[in-house]
Amino acid sequence: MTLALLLLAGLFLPLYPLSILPNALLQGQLSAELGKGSEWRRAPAFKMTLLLVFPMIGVGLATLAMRVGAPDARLLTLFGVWGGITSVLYAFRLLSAKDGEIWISHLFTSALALIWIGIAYGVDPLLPAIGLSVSLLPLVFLLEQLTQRFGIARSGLYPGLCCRMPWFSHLFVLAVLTAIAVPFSPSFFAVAALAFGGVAADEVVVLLPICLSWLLWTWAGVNLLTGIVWGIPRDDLVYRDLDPQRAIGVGGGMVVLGLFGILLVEVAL
Amino acid sequence: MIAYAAYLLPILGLVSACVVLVSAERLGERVSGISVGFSLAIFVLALGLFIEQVALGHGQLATLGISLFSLYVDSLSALMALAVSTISLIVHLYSRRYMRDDPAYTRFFVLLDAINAMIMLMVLAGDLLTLLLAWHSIGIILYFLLNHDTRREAANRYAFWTLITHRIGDLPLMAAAALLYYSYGTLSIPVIFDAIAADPSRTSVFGLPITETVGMLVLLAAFAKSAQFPFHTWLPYTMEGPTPVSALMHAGIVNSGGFLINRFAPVFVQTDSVLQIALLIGLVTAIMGSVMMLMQSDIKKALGYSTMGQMGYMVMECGLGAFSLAIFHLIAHGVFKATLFLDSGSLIARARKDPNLPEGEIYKFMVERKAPKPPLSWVVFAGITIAVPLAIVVAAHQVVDEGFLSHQGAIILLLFGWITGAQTLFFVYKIGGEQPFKLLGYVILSFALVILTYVLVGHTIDTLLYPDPAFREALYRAASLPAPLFTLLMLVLVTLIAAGWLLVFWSTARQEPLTRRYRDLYLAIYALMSREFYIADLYGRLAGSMLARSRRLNALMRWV
Repeated sequence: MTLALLLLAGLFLPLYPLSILPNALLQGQLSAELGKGSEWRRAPAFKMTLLLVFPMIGVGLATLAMRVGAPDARLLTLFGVWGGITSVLYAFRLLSAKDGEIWISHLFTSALALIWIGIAYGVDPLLPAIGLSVSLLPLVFLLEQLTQRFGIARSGLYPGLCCRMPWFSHLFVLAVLTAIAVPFSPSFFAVAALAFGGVAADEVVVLLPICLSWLLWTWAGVNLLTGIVWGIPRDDLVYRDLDPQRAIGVGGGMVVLGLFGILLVEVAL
Repeated sequence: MIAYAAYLLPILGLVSACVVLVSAERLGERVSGISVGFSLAIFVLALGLFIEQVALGHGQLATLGISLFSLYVDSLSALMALAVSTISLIVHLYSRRYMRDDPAYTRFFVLLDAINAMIMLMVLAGDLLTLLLAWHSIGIILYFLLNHDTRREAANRYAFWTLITHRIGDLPLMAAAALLYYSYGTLSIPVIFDAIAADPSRTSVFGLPITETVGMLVLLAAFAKSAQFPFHTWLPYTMEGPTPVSALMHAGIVNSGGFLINRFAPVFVQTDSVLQIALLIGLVTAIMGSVMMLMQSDIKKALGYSTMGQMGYMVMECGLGAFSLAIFHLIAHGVFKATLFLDSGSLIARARKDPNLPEGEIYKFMVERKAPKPPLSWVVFAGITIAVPLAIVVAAHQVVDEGFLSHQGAIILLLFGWITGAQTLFFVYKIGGEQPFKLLGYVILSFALVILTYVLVGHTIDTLLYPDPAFREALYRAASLPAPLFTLLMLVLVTLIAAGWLLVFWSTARQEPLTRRYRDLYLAIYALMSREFYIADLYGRLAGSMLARSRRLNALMRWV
């Protein structure tokens, strides 16, 4: 029963190969296969809901598994190692992702798989899971804005947006930084909470995947910025910047996220 | 109370960034005045803090009642805050005019203020998480400053190199912080240091002592930030950013490694074999940086490699146990390198207007390759070259601190002082000139003054930062090698260096340069160095291969 619950949780806190399903959902691949009438599954609201709800369900199932029967420490370590490998695998694959939907889904999997390290080594997983998932929300919103303007959110197709869409670009930079766990974002504090909390049990198993994934996220984040924000803008496109009021609203949301991060670390450590 | 006043140092920087951002549209280019004003206020405050701290003597911790954002004000942080605010003020003043016509004028000043705030937070951090946060943020903001010209591919590429190297350095620091938190159950830096002093024998990964593991991780973090081999490639290539950013980076940010090693001195003092690694890496970096500097024809790139060499020397000083000398070195280097960088911009502009070089002795020697006849027999000059600097260096140290020569680290530093002096005298011999003895006199006098000042100020900073003589002794002891090995090493080094000089003197006197005699070897080494030992190429290949493998893996897994 415990094993079944943990495996089920592996669908929501993605563990490879169970991660294929949430990835396909986040990339809208399943909706395309289901045909007409399922376009709502590509909508950002649906993706944001998935990003928020999946980790909650995963953490809930993992907690239930712990309560149902105290799992063997070796089993938990196995899940911790599995989570670490999944995280590094998806972080590595993130390096070559150019499509916005693929980028978000791979980062989501890489980040949330780290929660297993927390679960395996006695760190309360709820706040880090929330921190890692909410950090992706601004980027999902802004990638959707790109899709609305250019038909697709993809790195390399319309570089140099900072010269043509400054409001959008400033927010996009902040959103990418928030997603890849730079300081003051909830994901930074979530990663710190996992590392600081889990290190007591096994230094190498905890720190190695966290550090590797974190490094690869940075590289992937810069790749995304290079293909969208930096460079020489194309002249054959029509650019429409974000409305300043809306941009200020999103920026305010990011400040709130930063404050949430500080709260997270206060509670976690 | 003064510890709480220290909060103003990072806060004022952040406030300045925000005010510049919101006032830019209304004030236009005058907005830089706000930034300069705040910078001046920060400098005055840092000066006051330093004076107060010197009077107070012991460190103070200020907290906000949460685990984050506590500040620790001691002699090290107060001195560093003063140095940072001085360099920042100079850079701000220079940037006002230099960046005037730049379209991204506002963004530049916002980022400049933000990075200064983060550097202040780093030097004043009182807990591990704040230190990590600031350490991390510096790399991120520097990426945007270096990528100032967003349209240039080269600027973007080299800014990425910088960011990824800095991130590589962030990770060991996070690991060190996590291990310390696990071992001692607190994030507070002074509390951890007290606990380490009381119980240094705790173990961590693979049963290694926690101090050895943390010491090694801190060193790795410092190596990446301070461009030590093999993490050095980002530094000489970051000339795509505006000149003030180069100045700030080479005079301030790159010194973070020296600061970090000093901050963790209570950890290093408990180690047995970590500082020797710092010595080795610092030595390799110093030699590589200096050699590659000589290969450059671009003044800014030459300055970049010069910084690398200086950083190597700074880390080497730490590796010898002379921690406070590293701080003196980084401050002195910061001041002269900022001046050199800021001056290089106007020098390049002048050279563009008037390409004619003034024809003097150095011009004849460097450009026309005309070596005048040596003024004295090479044997006599070689004797002066080897003996005089050695006498000056030993005498200066004996005057200031008689016990100094009992430390192994001090002896190696003397060796370097001796080499530097002798090299300068050798150059006098090579260029000759109309009044070689007058020039020789000036050089010896200058060298004596420099060495005496270096020793005096170094000694003063030593007693300021580490007032406890027992702690200073322990640092030297932690850095020392077994006595027979050290003696052997010194004998080999001195013999090699002296023999090398004699050989060069002899070949110069015979007008038969070694580069002609061993032409093939010389060309092979020259080619290797002109490609910078292929290290950057190797990293480029590695990155390309990783990206290709990632693409292949994604295709194989159908991108889900």
